[in-house]
Amino acid sequence: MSDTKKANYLVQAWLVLTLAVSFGGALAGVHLALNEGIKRNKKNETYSQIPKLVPDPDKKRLKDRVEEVVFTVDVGGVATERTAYKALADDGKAVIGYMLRASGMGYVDKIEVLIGVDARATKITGIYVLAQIETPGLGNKIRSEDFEGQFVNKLTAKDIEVIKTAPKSDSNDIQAITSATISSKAVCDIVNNAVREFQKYLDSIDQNNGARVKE
Amino acid sequence: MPSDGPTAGERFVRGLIPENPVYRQLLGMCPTLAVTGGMKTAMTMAGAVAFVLICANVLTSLIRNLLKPHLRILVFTLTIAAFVTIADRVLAYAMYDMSKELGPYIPLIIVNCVIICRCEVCASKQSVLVAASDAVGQSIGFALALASVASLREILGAGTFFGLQVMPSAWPNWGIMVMPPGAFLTLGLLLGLANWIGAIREKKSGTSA
Repeated sequence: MSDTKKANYLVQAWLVLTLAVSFGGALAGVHLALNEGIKRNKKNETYSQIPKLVPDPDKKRLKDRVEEVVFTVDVGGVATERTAYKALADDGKAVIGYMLRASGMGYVDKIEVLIGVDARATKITGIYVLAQIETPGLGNKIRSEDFEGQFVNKLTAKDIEVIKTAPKSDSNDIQAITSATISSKAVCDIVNNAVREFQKYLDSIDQNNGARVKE
Repeated sequence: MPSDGPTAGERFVRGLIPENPVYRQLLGMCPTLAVTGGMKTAMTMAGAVAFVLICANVLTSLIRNLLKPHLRILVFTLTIAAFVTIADRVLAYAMYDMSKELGPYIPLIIVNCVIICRCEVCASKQSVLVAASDAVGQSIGFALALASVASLREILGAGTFFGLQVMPSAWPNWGIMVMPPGAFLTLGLLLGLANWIGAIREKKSGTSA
């Protein structure tokens, strides 16, 4: 008796199952058609941040002097690829700085951050929160000049810390957004980790080159 | 069949004002509060909702004879979710900046009560033509509701309309209007106004009858 009941439920659900398969197919088609374009939009947005995050006297032509750098890092034993963008000076050789792409878990979901650093990753020149869906009115304030501006000129020798009060002028602390400490800490962790990884990469190419890298 | 319900024309006209989704049915108030800080975001939301509503209504109407009563809500939600995902991807492709500004509110169209209500009340019971014109009428009504709140909030709160400066530069922008409290205040006052106008019209048609 229960077998026929089970079969009956499946039969009754045939419409739901058919719709699910059809919609799945339709969405796959939409994804195939639009994904390249969406990736291009994201890339343009990333590139448009470079002049803001990597300080350069000649902002106008900076976009033409950007090289994508792909390197691997060890994340818990797994080799993972990372992307950074190298901004070159007019002569096409001297490095002005880099823009790193990093992501991590926020309070709600993944947060993507662009981080500008100087040529030796000793100082942060700016950050931009590229993607987030934190709580509107609270966590989503991480995407604001007020919060992002706190990272400018922070030194990377030590980790940046999040505190709840106004930080002293030359400390390496930033102030958390009121009632959004988790989102604030998440961004801070993402920045610290990304800079560490990138510094390791810079050290490794130093070792490979043997010679000192020009500033 | 005389007892089929309102005609297509009636459904369309009702959706505009008499059965306005926001002012009369009090549905879909979440986007009405959230994305009406400016006309651009409000109208983009209205467009996305219109697309989903029309597609969902048409599809639901086409399969209305296949729906089982105890699985119909599931089917509605499945249909709506599929179309919202399509709308979200198209928006990310064609209007990337707007899609970032609207953020999580586009996926939240899935739980917008206007759409599932129209599926339940109209599309699952009437023909495709009636369902489609119901969807168009309700979409325009929703857009009108969003526009009424958004224009007040943008003009008073930012001095602009669709991003163009309309208030003189001496106008002190009422910052509260572009923040959530301003949304609640604006919607509440406009709802009160709509109810008041409705009451006056009822009195008029009552005495003239």
